[in-house]
Amino acid sequence: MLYLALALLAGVGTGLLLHVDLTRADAYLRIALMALVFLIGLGLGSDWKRIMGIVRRRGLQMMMIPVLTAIGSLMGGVLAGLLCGMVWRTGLVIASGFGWYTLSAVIIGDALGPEMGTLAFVANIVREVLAIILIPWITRRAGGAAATASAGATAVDVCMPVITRSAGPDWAVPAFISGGVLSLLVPVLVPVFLSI
Amino acid sequence: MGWLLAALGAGVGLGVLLPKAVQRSGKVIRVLLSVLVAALLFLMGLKIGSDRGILSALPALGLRSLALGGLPLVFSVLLVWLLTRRKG
Repeated sequence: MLYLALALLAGVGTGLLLHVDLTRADAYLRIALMALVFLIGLGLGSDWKRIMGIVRRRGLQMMMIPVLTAIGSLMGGVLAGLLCGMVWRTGLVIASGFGWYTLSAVIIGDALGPEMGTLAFVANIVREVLAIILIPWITRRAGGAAATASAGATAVDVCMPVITRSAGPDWAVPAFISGGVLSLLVPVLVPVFLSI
Repeated sequence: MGWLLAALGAGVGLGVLLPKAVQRSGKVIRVLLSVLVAALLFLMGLKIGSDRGILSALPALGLRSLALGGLPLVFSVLLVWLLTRRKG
């Protein structure tokens, strides 16, 4: 599992040392992600009856993951805001990005200025990177549900393969549901918390 | 997210239609998954490493962004772990 963190670090190092032309990076990223999700789907489809059985038996528990993840994230955001000497609301707003750094940073930057936008961007990248690095460890110590929680909204894209690698292919469904629900909440919650 | 859903749907559909073929190529799929995950994370890292804006903002934002990114992660993990472990 160490190779996941190493791949990420190798990327950061390469980006730092070489001036890489990134015009195609997003396209490659999307192709890799689509291929990954397609392969995860193949596994799910070939085992469809059993997977649906799991969803029927534990559907409610699966829905609990995004709800609890959202509540926990917001609690952590308020605490972090207070610790950093900011208005508690700012912590709440940044944490409600749930790791989706592009969207949350754009909304927050628009409302609170470029400095807060950058902070929201970096804080949510930090969440995603920490999740990628910690998911194998969290899975061993606390299981797949906790690993899915750590990824926040990114459980539906970048972190999904990391979760299924660590916790097993059965976790693709809860990861997709949790990440999907949280992704839908970002454009709702960020403006709501900005307005209070 | 639509293109992601389409890729997942295509995979699930093909898996439902040809379950035997998919299960036979389980090993190939696992290797492909490993390679693709590594490629994905490398590209993510490449984007972060190449972004001078993020990197130059890090010293000033470092501790705050660590708290604002890390504490939400820690609290959501703890909450989910505490409230789902007995049923799990």
